[in-house]
Amino acid sequence: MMKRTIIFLYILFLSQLSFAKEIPSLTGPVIDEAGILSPTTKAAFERILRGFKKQYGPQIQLYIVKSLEDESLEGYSIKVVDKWKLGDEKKDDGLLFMISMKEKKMRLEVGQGLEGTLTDMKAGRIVDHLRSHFKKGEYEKGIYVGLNFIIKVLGGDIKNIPQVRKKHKGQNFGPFLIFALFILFSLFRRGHGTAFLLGSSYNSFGGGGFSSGGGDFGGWSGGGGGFSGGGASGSW
Amino acid sequence: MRVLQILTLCIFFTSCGMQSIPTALNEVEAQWAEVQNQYKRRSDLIPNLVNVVKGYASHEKETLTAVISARAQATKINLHVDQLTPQTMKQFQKAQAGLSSALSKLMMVSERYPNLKANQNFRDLQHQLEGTENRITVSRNRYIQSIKQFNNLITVPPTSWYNSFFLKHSKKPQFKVENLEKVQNAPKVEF
Repeated sequence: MMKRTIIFLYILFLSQLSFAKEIPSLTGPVIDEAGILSPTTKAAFERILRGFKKQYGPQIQLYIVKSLEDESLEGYSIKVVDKWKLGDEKKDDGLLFMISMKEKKMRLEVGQGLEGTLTDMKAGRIVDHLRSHFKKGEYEKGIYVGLNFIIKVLGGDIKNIPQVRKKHKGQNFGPFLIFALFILFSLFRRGHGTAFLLGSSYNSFGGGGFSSGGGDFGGWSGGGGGFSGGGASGSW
Repeated sequence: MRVLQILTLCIFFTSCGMQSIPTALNEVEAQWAEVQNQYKRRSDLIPNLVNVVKGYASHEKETLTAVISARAQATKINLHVDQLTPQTMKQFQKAQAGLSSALSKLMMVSERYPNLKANQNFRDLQHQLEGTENRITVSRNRYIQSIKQFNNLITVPPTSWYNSFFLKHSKKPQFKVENLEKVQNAPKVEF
């Protein structure tokens, strides 16, 4: 009975949320829906963030969206971290670096366990600093500088992070090919209004391809870290 | 046979509210503590903020005193979960809303002082204030969720039966949107 009530409430809740921007599934340390990063930069950022997590612990996530679709930045970002649960369950050491291109807004959403070191004030200073890069359209550079700052504040050094490289093996071409076909297919079909359906299958597929492709990479998922709204936002 | 009885009892009690109601109440308590904690964090920032603004905008005395007195009003009200009634909740919200509006006026006024806006100390405080306001929003939303859960448990059967027989909790008050009229009469943007 209770369970049924909960399920019913949940469905009601979901149906009310259907107009809100959909939160993608967590497929890797860099999710770039706006497509502003070149493949090499994206791969480099992913290496840095995976390496940082492995060496120092905190889980930093980069998430770039095209548009917030009428949601507030802070309202959306807290929903994202509540879903992804970045960081360790006990340490709460997750961090979301979110950028929205259309609204020209960015936010650092800091996990509870990191609030003491990366205070709102420090997060605000970082955001202030990045503004000048973003204004000039130097997004890749700005993000790199931002990650550098964040890592430094959290007690790490971007230079110390081992540059783990993905091994290239012949037999790993299969999933990659299918993956590429999927991208092509979804791009082709995007104009026909079925982007939503394909978009979701493309996402889950990307997750599968990732773990099968990288031999020395672990998966990338949240560990149950908690957030309470700390961090800073800014626009450029 | 005895084991079977205990098992049935266990199943009966777990679904009747013996566990779920106190658990939900603990959650409400924790969320309410968080709400107060964040509001306190905000009022702790104010003396510094007022000092910095004073240095650059000394003739905005009226706005500054309004903030200080609103802060004094707001810090006066501290509520434990047991003291939460629609009445006390209303007082709490009114006091905090008073501080919110005094603060937003102060921030608006400070826009007129370029030197103040360029001051690193002021910028830092601004970030802290924005961060805290966001934390307040998050903690309020979580409180609202926890209250919803709790109120459902004590009003919807079968758990409500257990409550009316043994626990006798009453519904906890929700946050209300402040100045509903004001919100509804929000200024329209015309082009």
